[in-house]
Amino acid sequence: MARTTRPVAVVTGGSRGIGRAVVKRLAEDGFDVVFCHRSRPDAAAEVVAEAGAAGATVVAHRADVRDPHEARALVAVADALPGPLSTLVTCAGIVRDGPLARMSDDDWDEVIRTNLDGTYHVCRAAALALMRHGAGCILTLSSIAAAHGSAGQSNYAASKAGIVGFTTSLARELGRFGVRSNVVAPGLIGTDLTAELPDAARASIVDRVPLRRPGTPEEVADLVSFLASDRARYINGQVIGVDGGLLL
Amino acid sequence: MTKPAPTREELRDFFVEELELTDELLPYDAEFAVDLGIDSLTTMELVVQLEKRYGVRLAEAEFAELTSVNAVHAVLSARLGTA
Repeated sequence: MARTTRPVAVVTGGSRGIGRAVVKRLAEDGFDVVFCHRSRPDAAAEVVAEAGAAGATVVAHRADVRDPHEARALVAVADALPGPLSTLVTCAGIVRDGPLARMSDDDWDEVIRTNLDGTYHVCRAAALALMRHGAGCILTLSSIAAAHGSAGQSNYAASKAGIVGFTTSLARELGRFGVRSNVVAPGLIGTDLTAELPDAARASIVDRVPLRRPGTPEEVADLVSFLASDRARYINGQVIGVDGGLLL
Repeated sequence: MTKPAPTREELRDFFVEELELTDELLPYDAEFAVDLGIDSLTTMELVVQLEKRYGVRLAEAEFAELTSVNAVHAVLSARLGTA
């Protein structure tokens, strides 16, 4: 049976957490999805099976976004699919928490290289394809920590604030090509990344969420789904929180 | 679909129209950035339009070479055959 060409989305960090929910949601929304993971082939295979059930072509590709060559190879996989590359969602991110006075240079570098450099590498690799397509969007994952800071996360907050400046610049550059760029800024979301928080710290954050609970990856994916859709066609250069109203 | 390469005149007409210039203001060898003050993003925008119009995909490295009508003509002619 003939199949309509589906637009293609690239998602980084798609094997777990928010990225995993985003892959599944975009597949349900009608995208073919190429996602990368660094070291989780079993989890990636699960995502392929779950997201592929929606009828989408879903491809897992092992890539380390810290490496620009691997970022290009990831985009090349998407380029080889029949549909146009139209959406890029950068979810790959890590934390290496600690107070500044005890932070190692490695902890600083690893977080900046993965979260900020990695976002740059993948956006850089996909830019021309998106410009040629003349539509679509870039969605980068930042954090509420970008604007408000977060004790013990100076490296993480710096990387996420960098993503905001980077993405709003892309909004100005790529808008003329019909490509929108927006930032999604989650608060406390229940993922592997936040599971490392001590219980007391987690409870303290939840106390400051007016909705009195952490968010779910699916709730972030709902926002991504909307921003990637035509319903968000006039939304560009924005930082949109999905944090239950968290006050820092 | 690949089309025949444009002539220099056709290319100049394209840039004159898009940049709202006149033929006199756009000599074939005028440098977009240096002589005309056209920023690199605008040049990229126009080149992407030309790619679509002529059904060709230039290599990223070639974008940097597209600094004048003559240069664009040379690159497109090399790709599509001389018009």
